[in-house]
Amino acid sequence: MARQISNEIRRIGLATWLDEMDLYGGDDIKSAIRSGIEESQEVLVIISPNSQMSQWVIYEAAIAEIWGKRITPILNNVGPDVIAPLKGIKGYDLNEFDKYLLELARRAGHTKQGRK
Amino acid sequence: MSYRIFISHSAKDKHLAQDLAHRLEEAGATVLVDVPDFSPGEELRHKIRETLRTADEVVVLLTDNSAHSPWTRYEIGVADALNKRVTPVIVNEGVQNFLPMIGANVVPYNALPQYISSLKKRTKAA
Repeated sequence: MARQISNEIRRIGLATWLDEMDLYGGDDIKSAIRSGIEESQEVLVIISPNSQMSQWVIYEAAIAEIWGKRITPILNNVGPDVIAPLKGIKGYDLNEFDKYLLELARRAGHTKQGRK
Repeated sequence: MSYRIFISHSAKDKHLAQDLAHRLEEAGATVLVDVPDFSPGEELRHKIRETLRTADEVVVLLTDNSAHSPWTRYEIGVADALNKRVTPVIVNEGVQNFLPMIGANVVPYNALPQYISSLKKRTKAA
């Protein structure tokens, strides 16, 4: 699902970085995540129930926030407890993704090259 | 100049965290006051960020309670982004699958005395 989302964003001309988790070596993952976030202007935090990845996304969102990156939660059927730390940050339901894409295209059109 | 430690923990592990706080204080550290009970939202995030900024070290009390909490992940993320020293203290075996997120410096709960010895060097130097 994350890959689909990534493809949709690339289709509108923006670059994406996707955190594919292979769970080996904690430090490798962390430096890869940090580089990915560092090089991006916006971090999409995709949250599904029962998702192993959900563990990481809150961690990534925290980093993104400290480093001044825009954070956009994309919520796929999750209860408020899972995302409690992100409460108050403007997010989209997965079924509103097209709305997000429109808004992103409009926003990114103002910059020379948007990256995520 | 005091050595300041923030203990990340679940509210359900409050007594364990208090016990740990006493031990850290005996080792010469200043334990930062728990983040007050704001409701989730920007104000609470801000408070967590500001508190962690002042910490020299972040000790994460990892139990089954905290391992499943998104707040634990949030606090570790903030600590990492601020390049703080993060020390996970593992209380339960069941948190093993949490480990990829936290990397080095892991301290099993029953190895606390050794950790406290090394901590004393840091608190003396501060």
